[in-house]
Amino acid sequence: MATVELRHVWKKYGEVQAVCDLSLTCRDGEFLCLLGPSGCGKSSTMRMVAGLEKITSGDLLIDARRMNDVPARDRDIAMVFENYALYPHLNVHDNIAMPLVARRLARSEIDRRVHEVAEILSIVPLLPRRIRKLSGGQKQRVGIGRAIVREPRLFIMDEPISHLEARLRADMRTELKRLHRRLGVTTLYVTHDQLEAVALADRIAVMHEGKLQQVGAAAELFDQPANEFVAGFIGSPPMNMLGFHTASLEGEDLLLEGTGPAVRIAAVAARLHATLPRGPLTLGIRPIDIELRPPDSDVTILGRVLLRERLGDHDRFLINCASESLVVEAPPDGSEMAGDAIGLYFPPSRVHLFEGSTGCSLFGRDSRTP
Amino acid sequence: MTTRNLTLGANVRNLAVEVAPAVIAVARRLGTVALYLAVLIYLIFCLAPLLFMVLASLKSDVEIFDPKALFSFTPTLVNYQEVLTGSTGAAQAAASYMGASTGPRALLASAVVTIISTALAIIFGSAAAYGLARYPFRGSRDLAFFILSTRMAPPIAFVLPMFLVFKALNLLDTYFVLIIVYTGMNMSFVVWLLRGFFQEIPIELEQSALLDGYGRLDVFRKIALPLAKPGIIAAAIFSAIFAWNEFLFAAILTADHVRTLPVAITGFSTSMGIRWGAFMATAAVGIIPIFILTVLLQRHLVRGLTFGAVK
Repeated sequence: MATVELRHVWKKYGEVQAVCDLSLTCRDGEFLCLLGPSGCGKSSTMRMVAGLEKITSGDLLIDARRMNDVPARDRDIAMVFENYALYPHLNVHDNIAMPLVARRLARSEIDRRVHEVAEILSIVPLLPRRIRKLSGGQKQRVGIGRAIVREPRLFIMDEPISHLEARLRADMRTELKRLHRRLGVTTLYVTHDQLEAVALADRIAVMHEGKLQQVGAAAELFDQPANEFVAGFIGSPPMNMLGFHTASLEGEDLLLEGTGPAVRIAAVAARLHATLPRGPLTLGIRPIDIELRPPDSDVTILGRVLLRERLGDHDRFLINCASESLVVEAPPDGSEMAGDAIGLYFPPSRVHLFEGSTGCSLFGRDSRTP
Repeated sequence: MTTRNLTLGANVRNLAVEVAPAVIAVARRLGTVALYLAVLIYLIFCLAPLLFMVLASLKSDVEIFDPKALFSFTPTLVNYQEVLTGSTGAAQAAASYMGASTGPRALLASAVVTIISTALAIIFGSAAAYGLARYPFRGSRDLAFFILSTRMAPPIAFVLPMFLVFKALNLLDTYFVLIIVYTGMNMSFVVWLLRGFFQEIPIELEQSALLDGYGRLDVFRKIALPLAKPGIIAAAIFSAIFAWNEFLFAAILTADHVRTLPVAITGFSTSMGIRWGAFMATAAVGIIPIFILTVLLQRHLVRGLTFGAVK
């Protein structure tokens, strides 16, 4: 088990900055997900921790010891790869045994531990099989087996289940969580799939364009996104974003004006943690948080239903407000049909406000404190 | 008018649809027959000399030139006896003229030179190929091209300079000189073939082994080499064939002390005429080791040569 700390870590490939000034701590026994779109620097970060890439500048500490110049083989880290990276010329047993063979353990001890791991992953019948004959899910179990057999102090998993089909992916997700509970080993997990991150992680670190955007538990990222990127990236369907030119306070109310109709959010001044900027702003609200009301009642904005999708336990509306389209998810009991005028109410506690130029949230926590 | 044209067009099209499959099937079968015929002609072209050689090696010198005895003759092993045991038997007079027995010694010389030079080419070549594939450094591509360029000039251009160099080093007519020349000449082929193989191995496999606790050398030995096995076998077979068959350098750089099979064969071309029987028997014996090697490793050879082409 280990604590991993990155201090002002940079990774440059020539002129390209893959990771910019990343500072991040993974606590002992924690399951930390690095989440972000492809090319955001999350894999580079993992590979630097694993020792497969050189760190351009900054420090990597594992258990408070600086590891920048320690070769990969001496870091005591096990990695599970996206493409499994199993040795095709060996059978399942020998694949799992490889890390133990490297440690020159006795044959009987190796067999014992390989069997133990195979039992945990229920792949005992596969042990004599050739790698080529395995399905994707079985291959990844073997990959995980090879990682856990040596009882490392840190696991790194780089999109381990993104090549699997949807059903299997869900099963493996549960299994990974169970394994982590059982073994309690610190785990760094890279994924671009927020569902995976939310389901598995104790905390999630969201990255974008090489920069860390926000670290926190899933609920925290969902309820208090530090900036517009996190707000838009976490949650499905994504948060609705409405652009405005200016904002002003009228008592406790926030008044937003743009090209369309003005929007008034009542009694939110207390949530502001900074003074209102002069420039443009973005108002964000999640589809699930918008309330649909009759147009003549107390509403935030008026719109017209473009589309209504019935999804079973809820309905999804596409609603046109002035020039913008909003997605709303509501209980399936309303009678509104496409073409109907409708009122939308934004509960003040559920709206998000972002500075237009920087994207930083004006409500809640500052994005720059980790 | 337009409607009529349209229906006519449709009829023609229907007809075409009905006729087409039968025509295509016949054409396809004809194509297959033609293909097999072409392959057969090519096989005869390739194998007839081989057959002629084997037949001639089983005849007496008189029968070889008798057209009536092309297929009907009394087989004799006297040629093989002479080549393999060195006992000259019936051809005593001619053989004594040639000096010491050539067959067994030539076989031994060829085997020594071929095995050692192939082993060296594979050992050094695979290491060089791995380095070029996995550790790009400034100028590594140029270096790879330079290695390839050693094969671009015709070998005969090198013979004289090499002769002078090895003469100065006092290495002429030794095993060492042929081994070093063949190793060098096979190196470029081995490096280029294996470089491709090593590049095709997913880098994650090696990284995974690094994380598993293996050093660079172990990764090379336990991961890269086994995975490049088809390539190594293909490279080894081609190196061995080259060394086994090479004539030019062997003829120039060695003389009496080391005499490989291709050079020894020419010994049967004497001032008293060409001794075809012994000539053919030696050639037949010379083919056997490579023939066996190729048949045994054929599976790997095909995989080795098509590797990378499909992916």
